[in-house]
Amino acid sequence: MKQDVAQSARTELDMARYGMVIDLKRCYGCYACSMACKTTNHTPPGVFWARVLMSEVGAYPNTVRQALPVLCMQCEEPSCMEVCPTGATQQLDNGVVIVEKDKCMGCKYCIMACPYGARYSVEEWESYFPDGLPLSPLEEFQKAAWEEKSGCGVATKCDFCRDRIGNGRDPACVEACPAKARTFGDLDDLDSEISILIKKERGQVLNPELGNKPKVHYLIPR
Amino acid sequence: MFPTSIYNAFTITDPRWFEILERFEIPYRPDVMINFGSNSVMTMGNSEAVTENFLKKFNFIFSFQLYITEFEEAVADIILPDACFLERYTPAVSFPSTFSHPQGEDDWGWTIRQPVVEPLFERRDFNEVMLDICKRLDIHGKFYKGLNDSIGVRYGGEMDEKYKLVEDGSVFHTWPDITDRLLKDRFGEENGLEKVSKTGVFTWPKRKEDVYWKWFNPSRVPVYFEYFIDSGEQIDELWNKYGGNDYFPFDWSRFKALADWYPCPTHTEEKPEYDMNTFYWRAVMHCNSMTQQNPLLDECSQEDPNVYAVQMHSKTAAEKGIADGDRVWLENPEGHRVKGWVSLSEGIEPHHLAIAAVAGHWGKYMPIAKGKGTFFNDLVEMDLAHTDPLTFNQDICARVKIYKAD
Repeated sequence: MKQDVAQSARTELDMARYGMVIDLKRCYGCYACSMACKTTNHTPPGVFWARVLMSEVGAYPNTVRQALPVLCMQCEEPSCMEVCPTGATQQLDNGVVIVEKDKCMGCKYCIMACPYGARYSVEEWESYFPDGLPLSPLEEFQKAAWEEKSGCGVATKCDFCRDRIGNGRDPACVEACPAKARTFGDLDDLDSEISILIKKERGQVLNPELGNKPKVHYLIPR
Repeated sequence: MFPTSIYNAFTITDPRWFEILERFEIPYRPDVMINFGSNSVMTMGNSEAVTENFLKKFNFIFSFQLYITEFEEAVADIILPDACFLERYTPAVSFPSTFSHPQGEDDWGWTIRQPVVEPLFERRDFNEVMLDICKRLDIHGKFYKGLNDSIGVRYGGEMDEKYKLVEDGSVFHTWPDITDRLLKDRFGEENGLEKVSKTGVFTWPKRKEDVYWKWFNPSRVPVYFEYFIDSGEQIDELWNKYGGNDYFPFDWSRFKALADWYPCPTHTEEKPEYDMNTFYWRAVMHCNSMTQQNPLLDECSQEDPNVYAVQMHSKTAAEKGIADGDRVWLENPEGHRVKGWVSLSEGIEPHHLAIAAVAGHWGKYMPIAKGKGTFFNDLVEMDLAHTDPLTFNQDICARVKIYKAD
């Protein structure tokens, strides 16, 4: 019985079309999302599935420091999937774009095709520590977890914390945001918080002219 | 001696510290220092003054530490590898701190830390080690008395006799036992370590009086601090009695009832080449100096163009022939200087330079932190001129000249 309920919940979840809204008025660039992502997905040094781009806008004294969190946009029409020669990049029914690591041959076409720079590939796990020091016990753990989920020599990317959302939880970056700048939910549900936010606050996507139809929307300061 | 302050660094880091103690007829001298996870070589002010004039006066220093920092390299006789926060109990994390409490009308929460993994290598929780040392010295009863006293002061009231640690030394309390007693004392017999450890937090409802406390407290905020006048006169008398002016010529006229503002040396420097005000700001991902050695925080810091840089206004930099990314020296009028690289910004006042965090580590056992960022505190002078005579807070700004390093 318990298993039936879990299965039913998962089926219901998989009928959703997941997206994210990031409110740039709330984000102040604390990097909690980056940290949460790294500690949840055990990405190796130099790999940021959830990244924060910092910039300055304006001239003194009217200057604003703007944080722009970026991640895989989970495009409706992903260029990365189009160019993948092996079918390793796939789009799930819930709209999440994933890489099946066993099918990926590491050609990196997808990395070049992604207009948002959201994909990474590392040849080997290099230690955070310099001078040829051995991996720390935490790094050993991270490396094992990384290789199980993603791995070296293949394309990797954010999958909206697929395991977590399968269990009814928000992605780690959403849960960790102290300013509640991120909202995750079902874009097909017009009553969901994410749909209401996009409609009410005129959510925008990055580079709409490219035609990839990203499912990560931004609320822009006006 | 100084009733309006709780901290003063300019006396203990003065090269004449022991002489001053002698003059003021203080009969004891520092002998042993026990250091718990701090790195005062970097966190107090100019590292040379702190190390040479203060830390090296101790005959023996042992230090509990996660990493070998600049402190251990410079002055520790024995280093005891401490367990990290995932390997030990901490009975009170959010209390008694005034930080990190639930906001608004959310419940209050008393959080604990508890071990989720066995300590790596041969690390041991410093609490357990201290208890062990006291037991071997047969002074554990006195140690418990110290804990009983400090719990009463720090955690909101004296402990019930039922939960107090036994001070006659007839019982040996382990750290989990002490944690359990503290929790039971605060939250009742049924809410000891066994129960709280299931969730890691004990919560209770926040009352409206807690949230809207200003409405319920008929408090008055004084505009005039008359007691400052009395304090100043009393200290002046003592100061003259012991000849304090031979060491520190104080201006006691600042002890007056009405708040006033006095310029610090940053505002009064007359040499024209020292034309930049430097200040320190806190990067959101760092706390004190230790987080610089965390690889993940370091990685995020490198994503931010400002965390490891000296931020400088673009126009000022152009006038001085300095470009984005240039290596520079910042030197204060006392000749202390620190190195950094410039990040040009429009978000800073043109006569100021900004430096983030307690960065710029040089310790050879901190490979992640080493060589990153700029060590602002080396520009902080440890003397009376750079100290507010009322609060004894040190000036945390510095006047500097900036020039290319290469």
